[in-house]
Amino acid sequence: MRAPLYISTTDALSPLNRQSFIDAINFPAKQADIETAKQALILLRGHHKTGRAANIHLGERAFKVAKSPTAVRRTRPFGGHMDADHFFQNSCFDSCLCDVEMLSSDIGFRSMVINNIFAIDEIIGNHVADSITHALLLDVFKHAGGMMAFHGKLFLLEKPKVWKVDPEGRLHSEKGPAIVWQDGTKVYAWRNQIVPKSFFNKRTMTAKKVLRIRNADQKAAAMEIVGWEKIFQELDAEILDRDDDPEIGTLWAAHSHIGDLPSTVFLEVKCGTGRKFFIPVDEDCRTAKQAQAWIYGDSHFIPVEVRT
Amino acid sequence: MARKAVEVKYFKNAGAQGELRFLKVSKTSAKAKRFLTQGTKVDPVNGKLIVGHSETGHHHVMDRKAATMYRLPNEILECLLVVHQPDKLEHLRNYDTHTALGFKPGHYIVRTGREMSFGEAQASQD
Repeated sequence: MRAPLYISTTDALSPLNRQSFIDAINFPAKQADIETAKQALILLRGHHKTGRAANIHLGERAFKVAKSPTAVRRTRPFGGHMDADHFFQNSCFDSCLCDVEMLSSDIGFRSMVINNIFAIDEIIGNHVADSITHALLLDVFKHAGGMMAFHGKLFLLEKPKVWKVDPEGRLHSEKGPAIVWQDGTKVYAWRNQIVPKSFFNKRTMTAKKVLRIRNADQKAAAMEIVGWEKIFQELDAEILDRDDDPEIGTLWAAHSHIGDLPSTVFLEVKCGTGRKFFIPVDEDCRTAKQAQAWIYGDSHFIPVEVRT
Repeated sequence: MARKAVEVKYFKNAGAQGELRFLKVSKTSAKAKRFLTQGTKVDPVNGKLIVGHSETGHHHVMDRKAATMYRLPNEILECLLVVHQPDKLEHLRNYDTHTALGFKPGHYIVRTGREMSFGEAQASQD
């Protein structure tokens, strides 16, 4: 009964969440988590039903439920003694579900969880409720937007109002937020990278601003959002050297006087994942190979056999 | 559900994963000896050795039993990785993931890429 039930209730969810639901429920070695999930779902249902703060009893144990999901989120973002860092640091390495492990190392999912988790703590127990029915579970799943089982605890996400992904299932929106939560909180994302709303402001997002971003992944996303062509135009950039190997790269010099750039020489390089990066390098570099040597602090270019 | 098979790429002397570059060296080389005699061992975290740290949690990791890493007090960009048994370096991210890099036992100088930041070079961040 289990598998078809859960699969059918998650059809309305995103591919990302749907998969995590299915995996969580079907993972054969983790019966304990399934039982935990059942208890958590009962808890959540009671919570949605009353809409008020309540004490809910599961067997001999009592649990306090806050007034609303928003209140839970704002007052106690995580359950028990675990803080966010502790939770995710552990879940990266030691999650009980392999796909959830991958999800939890994903910054998009992680940010989503941090902002929108329902913390259901202290639900580990020996009291598997007998009263779970198909209809009850269906009802509860309608209110949930995702789940993560971890060390015998189940974390449920609220269902967002808006959830946009690209054809590859990555959290992504070229116009507007990729996620809008029930309380109106918006999350902007570019190919799974959570980015600030300001990245999409064409008027204020200048080449200078993009090139001052310190985080390489954020900068790569900003380069794509703003457009490489526009950046090169603004920089009045010319090619100093182009290596045949795109992973060694193309060296650019910026001639514009927009000022306050980290450097006027940049290496455009394709990384092992296929993405392009624009790395400010020492202004004495004249070839892409020299720039590569500078990046790694070498006196001369050292070719690598494998780059992933 | 079985865990998905991880693709692994191997190198002999020089390989890279993301911003990390690895050069195989002799354990008697001056550089390796410096790390081994003056460096301190990096503590594993939850059973994993974080070879490359990511501020967003997308670390590059190996099994703690497979390798030991040494750092020098004032050296941010370089460290020594001593691989005791064959293992792979995995990138903890489920999108734009760097393919795992296979290591055979030996000594490797790990170098983190750098970039210019307003007059000074800094380690690349992801």
